[in-house]
Amino acid sequence: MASVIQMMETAKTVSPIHKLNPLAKALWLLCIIIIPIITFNPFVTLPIIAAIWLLAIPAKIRKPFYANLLKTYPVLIGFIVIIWPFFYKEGTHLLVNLGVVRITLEGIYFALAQGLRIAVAVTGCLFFIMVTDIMDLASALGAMLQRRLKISYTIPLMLVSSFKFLPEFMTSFDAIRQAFLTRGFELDKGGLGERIKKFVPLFIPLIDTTINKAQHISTAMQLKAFGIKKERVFFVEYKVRLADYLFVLVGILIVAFAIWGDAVLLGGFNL
Amino acid sequence: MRFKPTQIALVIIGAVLYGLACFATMGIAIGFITLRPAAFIACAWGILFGPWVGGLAAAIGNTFISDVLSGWFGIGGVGGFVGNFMMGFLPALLVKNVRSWKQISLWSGFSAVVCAFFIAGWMSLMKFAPFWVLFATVCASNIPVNVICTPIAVKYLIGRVQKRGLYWREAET
Repeated sequence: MASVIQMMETAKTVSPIHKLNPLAKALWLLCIIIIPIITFNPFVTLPIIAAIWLLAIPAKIRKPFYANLLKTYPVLIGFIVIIWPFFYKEGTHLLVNLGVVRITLEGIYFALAQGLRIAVAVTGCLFFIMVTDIMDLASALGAMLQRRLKISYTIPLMLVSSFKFLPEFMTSFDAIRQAFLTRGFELDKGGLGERIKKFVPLFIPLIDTTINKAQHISTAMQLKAFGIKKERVFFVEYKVRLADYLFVLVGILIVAFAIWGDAVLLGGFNL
Repeated sequence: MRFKPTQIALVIIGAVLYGLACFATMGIAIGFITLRPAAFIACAWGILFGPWVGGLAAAIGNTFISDVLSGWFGIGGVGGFVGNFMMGFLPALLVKNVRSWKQISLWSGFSAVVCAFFIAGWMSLMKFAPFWVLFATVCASNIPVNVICTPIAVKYLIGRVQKRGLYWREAET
């Protein structure tokens, strides 16, 4: 749970990248997410990963960003790298041949390239989360949807509100868990089925408390005449500055680099 | 669809609860997939408060809370959003008798399969990993939890929910 607080605090750091418009950062993230769809050429993905790592310096999030990535990479990428060689049917340089199981050197190369492909998305997403306050993003998105597309702000309101209640729930969950533990309730012991069953009584008081909370929120919304006016006003106005355009442009250039790298088989990669 | 304030509040609270519980219990991770003892919350929330409330709470909780907190936001986002939405939406529609644990178990298990289909389908469409590996992993992580825990949770909670007048089938009639 401490990591959650840290993540939420990191998004509030003061830096040139944190100051950018949340929608500009969302567009930049969109560009990064597109890259693994365009290519998995490691000669394209590696420089992009390196560039995002370097962006952490002006964003002043080096320590938490690098520490988080080093924890996340083995779990996410390890699985892909281990699985793919078994499913890669082509390749001529045989390493293991047990009839059904056939692992080739090309298969391992392919798996590593797939791993790096995932790393682009993971690195970009984590960077985005650490430089963007999700409440700011939801608020800016809500304002944009309402003004430009005339879409109701109900869904963005749900997002913003759920993030507002997060710390409160974390405290409740922790208190209930501690209460169970002090009564000798061993959550981590027993078989899988038994452990799964043990989680239910842990969640029942939490769910019960949350239903009360939902009723309070509903009453508060009704008292404030929620939904009477079709358009709402926003406390913070997010302006689009030159730096925001430049940041989006960086994202577009990265996509262009990926398209070019894939087309010319950069580094001779042709799997 | 126009939401009532109570439904909005239940979506907000359900999303926080589901997202946080998924994040807090994601001890075992296999690639993109984590064993989720909290997966039953999506089904239970839908069965108790209605398909849209359950579906949206699960989708927002998974994608915008659990994925954001764990740093996975955006990768499996689309598949995860749709899959988790289905896991909250389908049992609510299909369970006709809230006192029947057989119905609850069956449809909660079925919704886990549908969820696995969307997640694995999206991931394999993006060529991140082979379909069957992910499909089997998501099924293995969600089906036992949904089948065992959803009926227990619904049994414990239905009385309290009905007393508050929040059970969706009664609230809408």
